[in-house]
Amino acid sequence: MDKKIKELFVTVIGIKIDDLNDENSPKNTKSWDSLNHLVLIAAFEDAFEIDIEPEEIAFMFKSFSNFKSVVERKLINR
Amino acid sequence: MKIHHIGYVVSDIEQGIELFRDTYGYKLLKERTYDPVQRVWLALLSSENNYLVELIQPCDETSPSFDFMQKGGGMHHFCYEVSDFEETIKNMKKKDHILFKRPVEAVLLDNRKVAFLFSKKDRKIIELVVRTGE
Repeated sequence: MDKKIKELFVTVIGIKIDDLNDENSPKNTKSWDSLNHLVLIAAFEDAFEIDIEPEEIAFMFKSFSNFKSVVERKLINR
Repeated sequence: MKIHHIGYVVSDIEQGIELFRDTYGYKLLKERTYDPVQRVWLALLSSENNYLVELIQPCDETSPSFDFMQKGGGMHHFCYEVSDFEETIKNMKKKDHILFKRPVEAVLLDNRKVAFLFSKKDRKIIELVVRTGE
């Protein structure tokens, strides 16, 4: 699942998968801005059939580690 | 839904007011106002035929519209006025919209509650404002 999350993330954001790790954040990943973050949320909701709440959307915008943790939790609780 | 206003992002709100008022003939309804929730400067203007434009100047990089301004700014969102706030949000979520900002008071709009959604289909931001008196 980690691979699927990473693959979708890099496809939307437009970076190489080797350049993505838990430390990636909007501060060090130029293409991960607030608008692309919403595009990411839309892509993950549709691809994984999950609903992401506003507070989670804000939390996920801190780091890829946060982003991944929310998606993984949603998938476990689905 | 009835359009309430169009949000328009500018890098300098005074210059924006000058452009819309002095060149396009808009009437300034609300002077430059700071919105601490959105961390933006706002102003509200009305065209000759009563279309409302909300000018938005991000205060810094923490403002939600900062990235949009960095990409050139301009037309940012449509704001629709609705009578049944929660029901409208619920219906829009069912129709490919993401609620990314829960209802909060908007200082420019007399503290009426507003919420922000994102359309998955056309990747645009939609604001909802509750109709006065409800």
